[in-house]
Amino acid sequence: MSHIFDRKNVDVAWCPGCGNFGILKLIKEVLEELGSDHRSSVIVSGIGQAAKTPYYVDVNMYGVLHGRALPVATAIKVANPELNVIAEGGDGDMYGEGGNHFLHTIRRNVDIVHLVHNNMVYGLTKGQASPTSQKGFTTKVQVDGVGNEPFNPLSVALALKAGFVSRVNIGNAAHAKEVIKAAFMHKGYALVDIFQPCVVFNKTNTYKWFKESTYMLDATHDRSNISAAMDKAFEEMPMPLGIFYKNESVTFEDRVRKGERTPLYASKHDLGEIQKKFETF
Amino acid sequence: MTKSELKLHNGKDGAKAYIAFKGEVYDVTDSHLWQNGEHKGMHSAGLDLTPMLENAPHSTEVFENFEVVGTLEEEPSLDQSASDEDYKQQLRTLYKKYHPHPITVHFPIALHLFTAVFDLIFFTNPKEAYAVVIFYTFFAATVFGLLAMVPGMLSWWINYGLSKSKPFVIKIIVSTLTLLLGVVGILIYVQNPSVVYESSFLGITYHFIILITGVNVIILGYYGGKITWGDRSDGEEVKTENKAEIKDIKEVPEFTKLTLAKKYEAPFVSDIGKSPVKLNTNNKIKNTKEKSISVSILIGGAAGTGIDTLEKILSDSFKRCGYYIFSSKEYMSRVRGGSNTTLIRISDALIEAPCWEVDLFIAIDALSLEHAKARCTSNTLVLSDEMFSKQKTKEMLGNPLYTNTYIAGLIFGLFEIDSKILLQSVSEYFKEDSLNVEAVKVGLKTASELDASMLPKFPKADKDEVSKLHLMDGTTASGFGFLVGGCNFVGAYPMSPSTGVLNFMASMSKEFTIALEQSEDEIASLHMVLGAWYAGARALTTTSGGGFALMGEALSLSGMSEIPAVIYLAQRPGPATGLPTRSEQGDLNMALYSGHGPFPRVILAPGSLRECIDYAYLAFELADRFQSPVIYLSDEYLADAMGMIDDVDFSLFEQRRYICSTDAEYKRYVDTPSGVSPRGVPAFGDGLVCAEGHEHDERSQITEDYNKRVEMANKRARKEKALIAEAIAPEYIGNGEIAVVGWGSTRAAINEAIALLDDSRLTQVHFIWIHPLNPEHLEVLKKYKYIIMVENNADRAFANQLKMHDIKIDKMILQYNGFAFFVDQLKEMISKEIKELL
Repeated sequence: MSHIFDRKNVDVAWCPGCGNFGILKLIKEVLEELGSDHRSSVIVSGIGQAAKTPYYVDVNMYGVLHGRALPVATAIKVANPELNVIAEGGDGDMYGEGGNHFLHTIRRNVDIVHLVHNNMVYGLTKGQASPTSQKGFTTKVQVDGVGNEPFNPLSVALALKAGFVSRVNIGNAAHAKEVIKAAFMHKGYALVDIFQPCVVFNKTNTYKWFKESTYMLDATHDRSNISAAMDKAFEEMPMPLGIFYKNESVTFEDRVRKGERTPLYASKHDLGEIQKKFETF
Repeated sequence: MTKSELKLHNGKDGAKAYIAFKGEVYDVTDSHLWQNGEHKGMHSAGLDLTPMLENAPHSTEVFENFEVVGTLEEEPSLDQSASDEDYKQQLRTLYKKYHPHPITVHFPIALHLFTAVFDLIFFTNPKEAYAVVIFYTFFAATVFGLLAMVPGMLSWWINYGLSKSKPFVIKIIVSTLTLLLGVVGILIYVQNPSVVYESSFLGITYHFIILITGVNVIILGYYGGKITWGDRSDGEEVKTENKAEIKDIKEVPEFTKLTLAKKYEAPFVSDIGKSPVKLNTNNKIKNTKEKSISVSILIGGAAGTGIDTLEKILSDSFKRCGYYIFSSKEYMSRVRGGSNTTLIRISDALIEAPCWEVDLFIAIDALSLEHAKARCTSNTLVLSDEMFSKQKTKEMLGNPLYTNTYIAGLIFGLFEIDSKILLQSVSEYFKEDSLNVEAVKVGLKTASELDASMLPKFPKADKDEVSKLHLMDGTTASGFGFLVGGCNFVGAYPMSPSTGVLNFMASMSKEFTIALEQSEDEIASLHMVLGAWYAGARALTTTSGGGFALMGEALSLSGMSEIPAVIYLAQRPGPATGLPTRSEQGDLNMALYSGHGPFPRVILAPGSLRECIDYAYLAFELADRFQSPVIYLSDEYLADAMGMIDDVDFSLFEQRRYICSTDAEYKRYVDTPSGVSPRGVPAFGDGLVCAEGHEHDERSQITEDYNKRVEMANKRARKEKALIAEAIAPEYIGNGEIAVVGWGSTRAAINEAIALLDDSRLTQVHFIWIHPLNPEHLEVLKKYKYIIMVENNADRAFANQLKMHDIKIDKMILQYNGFAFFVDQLKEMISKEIKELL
């Protein structure tokens, strides 16, 4: 890797050994290998340790509020469909605080890549349960262990007929990279749920645990079959990795912009037409 | 079709050959690959092959060649079998993970072959050592054979559904035979090891068993391979298919590069640095200063009975006749029933406010008579519900449906207005139904029989002047303002009374470039607006109090990240759900203080239709120039009331863009004297555009440096100073020493009330620019002897703002009953306050 997407003079805020480093490296490699330049990509992120990723990637970015990356990313893609838009954040950010946006962004099928660092714990607030924490996981808040059913992002996305549903484990970087690349190339909303350990606050779901608790989907899995994908999404221990479902359909920005792709910053209304409209009253 | 029905179609003895796959039943009778109901000697027709296909060497496309003849239904089964199926699925997962049969099966094959070959060597050289090796190897082969058979049978059950096809049958027979022969061979040897050298029956049998089991395992291996790989000769291809996960992604080489954003040769000249736009208020209509004559008509009825249609026909007809009109509705938060009223005022000069007392009250039902009788005086002509009962109207008109057009005729008849235009309007409106015209005629006739002597003189028409005017509500006027302000993105969640603007923009999106989405909630609305502005759009959200409450955090993000936003906030009485369909100026405090942390914002509150257009346009200008949120305050009354507006020359509205093309060194938050940094948008130029909600440095990296924090906070605060310098002064109407101060939608009511009082001591002071206030403008206000403040709320929100600037308020007129001010009532209120003051 030639480091062209490294942001210069930044102080990375992650703990040594954090899974986020692997994801950061992959994103930069994918951008480079897919031939992006700096100005054509935008990363929108919420709040959390995962959401700090765009500060270390040398492309356009908008760091927004906790849970709100998706509506912002959606509008950016509509305002300029020529941009490659990535929404990035952690499990608490995207599945907790931003849960409603998650549902409706999928329904819209806006052509963005949705990268969710899923470490099953809250890192930035120092170790509370996240929506994806496994049952029994104890924290300073969940003192008797998590009792709530873990949020299953893949089955939720499939229930809403998301066009691209995938899960990877950062412990298998080569595979994760291929899937993330495929997500970038997918026309429409693409979810990549990335298993990633928090080495400080989650001593349960470690690199080893993720490796032992997962297996790769192989060619026998028909990724055009949504019910087969749903069956796979519900599998637990081991949990499958790979592309569960892929199906392209018309994107949100194409519908809302009626196929027009010129950026909205270059559009102006015809005052004569406004005058004509006004005269009809 | 159930599984047992499917079983009958096994392709044998002339039966059709059906197979099921993923719930669909296919007819494969005519396929040469399914002769006699058998496929490759492995699969039989009449079965659900879904689990088998996972192991097939071909993919699911093969099914496209066959006709679907039905769907496979679950047989009514007991829970037990369902859990069997679950259990099977679990086993299948386990089997796939550990594949125990392939692991174990190779040992007996190798060992049996070894014994057979070694036995042949033994014939040429019968050493005892050889005999011993042969026996122990054979023993091991038999034991391993048994071990391999168990997972083999398991696989046969869970993966192949106990298929009775040839390879399975052969495998089961041959492997069982091999096992039995193994046991017999072992027993023979154990009884007498020297039998291996004898040509006795037992000796020959022993050697026969050793050799034949060697042949058996070859057969077993052959059919095992056939089950796993099929008849494909190309083993390589099958292998790569098994690793499709990664291979598939690489299969589409033509799409391996992202498309890059085009480099636009600056599509416009940046207007950064230009002096502020000037509002061209070319409103030629005179304010209601001189005495004018007006007549007011109130129509009351249930929702959904067509009062809206009646209002439209009457408004259109009066306008075409040359009258100035104003109408406002008062409606309940329900779609049908209840009691709604529509007020229509007709005048010979511009009127823009409602009155409480009416000259003519048409109460279509008893409920509305009760609801609005307080608005009648001894001079009011009341036509009550009996005249409009279903029975009566059916008698008169043939169908109660025509009541509305009948009433229109009645009104024209009572005031003796030329009915030609009304008849024309009605026949145009109801092209298909000429009986409406007849209903108008019945109304005219009925009116001629009524005593209308108590009605006031009708104003004089002025066709020339009125024909130049446009009739619209505040919603439409605001919409035109946003449109001419360049709005090309709308993200909003419907909420009364703001929805009208959302509807207007949606209707305009058919012909203008406007990307519009109904968001999942108001949180998403304003965040979408910020995303759109960030990428270069001019974006708007529309909402009311409850929705705006949800926008607090995004408003704060707009402040911190210096991304503009325009918010159309149509107020209704709160708290909480309050009165959803009624009016109040109750959300000013929230507009002022919503959002955590200090940041500059602009609040504008227009009061007339023309101001709606001008200030909606200005909202976009200010948001773009100062990279700050602009809140445009309307309310239910202003949004829904219909009035007249002079022609507007839209060519005078400059279309500006305050964004710059960026270079590689571009920094989003570079410090400037005004606090406004040049705003780039992604992909317009070579620079990177980074925006941020944390405290940040010039290039938008997060910072916790305390000096930088102060520097950036000061930069943002300087924008507020720049905004104050640009604030638009309030309008002063009159030269009296008593100021009657109002803001936003109270403009016309105060104006007409003062005109009615005809008191030269009074001056109207009308604020449109609400925040941030310029202290210099307020110095003028301090010179008045008395200040009477008029607000359509309970919390004196704007008066409190003025007090913060040391303005002494002498009297407060507050109204928060859900109505906007009525001119006649407001006149009395002001009059009372003046008496108390002097």
